[in-house]
Amino acid sequence: MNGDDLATRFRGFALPPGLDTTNAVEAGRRAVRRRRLAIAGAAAVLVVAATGVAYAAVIPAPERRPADAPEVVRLDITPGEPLTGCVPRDLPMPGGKRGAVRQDGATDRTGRYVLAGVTGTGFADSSAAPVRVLWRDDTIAAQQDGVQWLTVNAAGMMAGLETYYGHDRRAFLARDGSWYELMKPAGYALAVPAAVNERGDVFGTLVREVDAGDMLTRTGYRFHDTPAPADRDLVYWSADARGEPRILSEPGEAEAIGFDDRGNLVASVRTGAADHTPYVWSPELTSGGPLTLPAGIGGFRATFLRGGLLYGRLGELPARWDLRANRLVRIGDRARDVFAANDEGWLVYEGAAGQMLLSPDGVEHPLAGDPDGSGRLADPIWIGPGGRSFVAGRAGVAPSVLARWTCG
Amino acid sequence: MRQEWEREYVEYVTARLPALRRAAYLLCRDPHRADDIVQATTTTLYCRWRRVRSADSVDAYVHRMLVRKYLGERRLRWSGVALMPRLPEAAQPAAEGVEERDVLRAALARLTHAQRTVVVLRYLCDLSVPQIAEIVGCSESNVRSHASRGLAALRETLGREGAHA
Repeated sequence: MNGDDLATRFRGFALPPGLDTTNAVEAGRRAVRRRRLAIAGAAAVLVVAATGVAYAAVIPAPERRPADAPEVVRLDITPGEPLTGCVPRDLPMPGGKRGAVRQDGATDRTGRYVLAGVTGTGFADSSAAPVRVLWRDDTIAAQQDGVQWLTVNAAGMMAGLETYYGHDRRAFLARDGSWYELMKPAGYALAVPAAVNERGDVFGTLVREVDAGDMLTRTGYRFHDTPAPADRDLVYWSADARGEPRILSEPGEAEAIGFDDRGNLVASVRTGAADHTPYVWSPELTSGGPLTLPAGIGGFRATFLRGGLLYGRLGELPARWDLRANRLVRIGDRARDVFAANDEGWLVYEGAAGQMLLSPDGVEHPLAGDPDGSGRLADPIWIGPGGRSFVAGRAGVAPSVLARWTCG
Repeated sequence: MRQEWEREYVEYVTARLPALRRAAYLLCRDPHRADDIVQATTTTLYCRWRRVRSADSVDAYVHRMLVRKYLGERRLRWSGVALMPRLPEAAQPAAEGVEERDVLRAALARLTHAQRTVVVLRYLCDLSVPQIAEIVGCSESNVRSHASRGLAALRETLGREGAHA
């Protein structure tokens, strides 16, 4: 059977009657009517109370810091022994729930706080409504539904979004047992928190129009790269200003990445037809600008940040930019999807033979199965020091669960 | 002018609806979920049609929306709402079609999520490797790899089914 045969089979089977064109058109008309009503309603609210939408001060572009282009080095990958001897300890589930959704999990930098959605059936791919759970020291510290917790800091402060479709999804910060709305500047459809630092300052992305391609990934909320740069801006909610937004000036399509280990704000910005360039601002927002790309390199697409290591892609190759040493490391010579990493340079990617743990010096270790039947370490969302501890799925067993793994 | 763009939209959706339902079904393997995904896609398409209709490849744009709706629905399913009433018992198609559908569904269930998405986009939606890479957010080489492995796995599974038939 070749591709043509498969295409023929795909096009030949019958589906039961269901959705028809009339449904599709009517649903579209209803959506447009709802949108118009929402806009009219929002205008009325602005006139009466001006709640939910804030005036935002625009922070002028700071002085650009002169910076040298980074040293570029290639990390050659060599095969190593499979990672074995790892013992899982399952994170407890809320009453009546089994299993965790890990695709949208997150942890703080220490791994002490863990966020995930827990389904009721034991399968991440379940239609049951997950409840959001925060674990602290492997015990349940909080749980809630109707929200999407996106990020948590080492003090247990969380930022995220409401998840009710059909409503204006508000961004929020939870700290000290209280909830604060992160106000959205007028003119934007959505404000998406990317990171919260230890002070409680939140860095995020403002979206004028939500794209169907925007999605939550294992390393955070990611915005779809459209052919032309989209109208997205950066926003900073200072802990001192209690949720008042400030917009950071930058020249193009921007995406907040996070805070580095020195408190700097790191973003990815795309201007015109140019590729992405990392931008860094000082914690006081008084200096900053684009990092200098090495000669011959058109762009660096940053995707997530761990400490002082900015992970991303150089073309199709995975790479990390050590912001402290100003060194850009190409990882191997093939395209790989890196979905977990730590601030020492340990990372996990999807290799040809399954998920691989890569040491900072390039030794590749397959995440092997465990012979005693306790399952297989898979889909980590946190990698501990030395690549010897993980918060990760326990695959190959039912129900699917999230566990803290310790490797001997 | 509304009549004109809406007429274009209706023509487009009428022509593509069966293919979109098939694609959604092959991705999620549930006819009701497939209709929800397609409904969400066509609703968004209606709202954006005046811009989308001038795109270089409307089909690629719509397939991208479909895949994103599917992925979003997988992750955020609890917050979705039923967009259309469901009959307790749907009318059944011919037995031959049911059998083939079940065989394909079982074969696709053995693929990884990424392989299934790539195979459907490549062999049902007839999208190019670069278009698929852009839609699913990975490299072209990864797309080729997923397509090759997915096809090999389907060949093995469907070949075995054929031998047993």
